[in-house]
Amino acid sequence: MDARRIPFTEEDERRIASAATWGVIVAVSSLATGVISLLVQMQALSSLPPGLSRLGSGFFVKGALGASLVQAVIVVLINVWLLQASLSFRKVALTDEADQAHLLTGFRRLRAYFMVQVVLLMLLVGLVLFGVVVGLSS
Amino acid sequence: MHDNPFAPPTATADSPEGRGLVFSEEGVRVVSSLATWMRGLSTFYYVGVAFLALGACGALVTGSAAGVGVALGFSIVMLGLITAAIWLRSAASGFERGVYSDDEMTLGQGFRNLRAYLILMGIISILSLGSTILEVM
Repeated sequence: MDARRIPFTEEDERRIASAATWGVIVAVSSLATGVISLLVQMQALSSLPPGLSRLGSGFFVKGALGASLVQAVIVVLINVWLLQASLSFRKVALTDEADQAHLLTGFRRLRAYFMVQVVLLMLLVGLVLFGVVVGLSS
Repeated sequence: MHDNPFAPPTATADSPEGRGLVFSEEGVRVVSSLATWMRGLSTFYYVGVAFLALGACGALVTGSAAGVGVALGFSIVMLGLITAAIWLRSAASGFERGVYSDDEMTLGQGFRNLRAYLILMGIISILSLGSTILEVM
């Protein structure tokens, strides 16, 4: 795809700009939620009762902290991709210089955004099925 | 003044809208893959709807007011998931048709459905952010 102008109708350009704006809203609010949740979880882990934190000094606290960090990294990653896709689509709607290049960049980031979600859901379903099978067999 | 029917065709400017696009093979591959993942996500939404429907039936069987409330809540979530899945699939089809037919009109249709999906997700994520902030306070 070369970097040339795509003759979208004015209405379509408005729709693309609006989709991009909502993409930014989704990404920013999800990032904010992820950051707040991570801070709350870290605070909760640091304020565990002394007995409990001694009991799980290695495994429990580190495991929970690790899970929270992994979750935070995933949230940041996919929402940054959505943000980048939205900014590229915004350029498609608002500029006329390199529509196809911006469109391809936007589609690539959007593909990564959806791909990671599907892969994570597949892993989740796999884990649930594994848990059910193990639970039934024991 | 009448037009001369024997006059040679004159060069007229193309309409600024509805002209064909030329997508590279890479572009076609990216959009085709994007459409596949979007459809994949919508399939998970339908799976979620099936589980919620089972949950709603289970809640209704209890016959209690709380059970009816839970079933109603699940039904609203199911409606949202079905709507999201439909918009996601329509957007995927619009993007795919736009690339294969080299027509920016269908790409525009794809963006219309993507916008609807993102508005729904935006409302959900704002509500989620609000509830997280309320929990913290």
